[in-house]
Amino acid sequence: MNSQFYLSDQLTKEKIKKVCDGVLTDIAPEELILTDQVIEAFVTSLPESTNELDSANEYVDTPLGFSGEVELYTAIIVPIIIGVLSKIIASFSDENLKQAVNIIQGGKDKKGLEVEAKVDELKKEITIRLSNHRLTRKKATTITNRILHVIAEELSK
Amino acid sequence: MLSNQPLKDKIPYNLITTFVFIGIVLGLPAFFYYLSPGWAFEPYGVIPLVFGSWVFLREPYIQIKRRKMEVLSSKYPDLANQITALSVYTNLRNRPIVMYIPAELPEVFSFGTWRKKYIAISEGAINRWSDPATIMSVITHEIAHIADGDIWKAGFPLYFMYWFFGAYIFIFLYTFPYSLFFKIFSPFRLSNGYPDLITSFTLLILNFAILLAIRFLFRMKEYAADAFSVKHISMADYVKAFVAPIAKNNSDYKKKRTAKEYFQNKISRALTFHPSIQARLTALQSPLYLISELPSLMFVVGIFAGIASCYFLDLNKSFALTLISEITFGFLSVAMLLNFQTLRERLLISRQNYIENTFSLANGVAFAFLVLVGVNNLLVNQKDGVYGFSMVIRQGVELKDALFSTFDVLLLIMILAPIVILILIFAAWLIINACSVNGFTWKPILLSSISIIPAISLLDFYILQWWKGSIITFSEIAFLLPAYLLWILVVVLFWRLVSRRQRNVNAEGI
Repeated sequence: MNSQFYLSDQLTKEKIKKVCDGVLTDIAPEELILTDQVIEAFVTSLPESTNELDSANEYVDTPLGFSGEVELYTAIIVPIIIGVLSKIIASFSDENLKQAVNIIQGGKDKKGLEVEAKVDELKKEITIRLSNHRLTRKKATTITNRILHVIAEELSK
Repeated sequence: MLSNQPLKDKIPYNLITTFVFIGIVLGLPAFFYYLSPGWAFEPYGVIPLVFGSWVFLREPYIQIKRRKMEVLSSKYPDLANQITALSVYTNLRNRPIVMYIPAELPEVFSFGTWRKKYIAISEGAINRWSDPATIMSVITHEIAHIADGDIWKAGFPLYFMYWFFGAYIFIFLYTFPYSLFFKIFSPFRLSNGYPDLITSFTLLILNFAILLAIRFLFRMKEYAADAFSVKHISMADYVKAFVAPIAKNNSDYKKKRTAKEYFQNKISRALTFHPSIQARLTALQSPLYLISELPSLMFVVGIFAGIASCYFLDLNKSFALTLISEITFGFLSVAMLLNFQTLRERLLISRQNYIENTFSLANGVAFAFLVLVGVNNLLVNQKDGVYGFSMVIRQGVELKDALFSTFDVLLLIMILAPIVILILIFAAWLIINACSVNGFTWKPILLSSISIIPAISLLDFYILQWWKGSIITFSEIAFLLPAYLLWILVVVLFWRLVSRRQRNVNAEGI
């Protein structure tokens, strides 16, 4: 697995897209049509650190205006997916990465307590970032699990 | 890219929205006339129409002045030229004036009257949708609103509704029988008692129904504008407009919002008529999705069912009004259940578990039915005690025909069933939240178990009544209900224990 993470890299973009599509298929299939454009929007306006990536896809709700009352899931999850992927790739060695994938997929590794703690930390971070948007705790937890599960699936390939 | 297709295409969903518009504007005075022929012509019926029209005609000038709008060509001549060169724009018979708003929030909307029409673009919108193709997509959406006459078809009913609501408050105060509750006479006139209560209640229901109709109108107009736009712009280009706001300096936008603006935004979100972006995207990709908007109009079925029953059964007018409002309310409640996303999500815990959810809903309905039959039974039998609701209706309209004991049950079902179901769902939701801990996963089957318990408890009441040979007392119910709630709690805690044990077993990797 590649230990470097370059957003502009085509392979990385494809990976982000696969993860994003995997999550959206479950939570908002109608937004699948937007994935490419949202990823492109984030990649072209890339800040210095992936931690700073966030969306504010809000509109002013004027009658007969071009608006909508809810944020796009795609806009919420893409920066999170980019952040998580970069963090996983940067902070786990190849062996740890396998353990992390195992832990996310429900398996246990007796030697991987440290990795398990890191995965829990990651999970907490994603849930908090999701909760900053107008999502219920339950929805945030569901999406967190889904994101990690799809990332694990993708990384195990 | 924009095609050169002339703007003579049919506007989607035009027939149904026009029908709803006519229904609101003409239906209201007609209903007033039915309630009391005088009201349709006296101030209560005329005021909303006159003031609604006045505000509607004044509104564009007020907007332009208050928001310090200028003509776009004076600020951004290039952008203005691009817009006026659009084929969809040039093909309009009555072309809108494109205005500029000096505001940082991204806003693009259309406004105006029958005669003069405007499209307003804010500074924030020009920055946010900086890509020319994307801003043209948004403008095409607004042009679609203007081409369809949405400014007056949706705008006028909204103002009419505001003023109607004002008139309604007055009529409500006027007709409300204070003597029923406060032992005083009405401050306006001598109370007519229960028939007045029925009229007030009918008006309340009617207001709510109209609000839903206007909401439906606005939402359909948005879907229509989207459907119209994708006839002229490719879908891929059009959806860019939904995405664009995330691309530029949004953190600035977030920081600049004051607490007051944030609060205002929250309020407007709660009252919004706009469909969500997700709903708009779904409708663009599969137009059949729009069927899910139809429950908003269910009250029409309720009103017609009520009127038809009254006509064929030759009922007293006051009773007819009760029947109409209650049936309408029943349909409205169903519409709410089906229409509001959050509620629907709470109801359908998981999309994969339709059977379990249907089962739990059926239990809820069964429970509600049993409650209604039970309450009716209690009320009808308490002839010498305090008058119950069914007795109130009978006294008010002076109808003592045996037929109405059946109708009472029907009315109670229409009023109470939706409320009881909502309370049941809310109670279940409270219990879930109170008892849920990390690792505790809510299962629909548990919801089914809980929802069936009240139904069982009610059956128990009946068995108790049969065993006692007399009607169950309120003190007995007051004693038994906490016992059943305790039972629910035990079930939940047991489930929590089992799920936690299961989690521990998984954790040990056995």
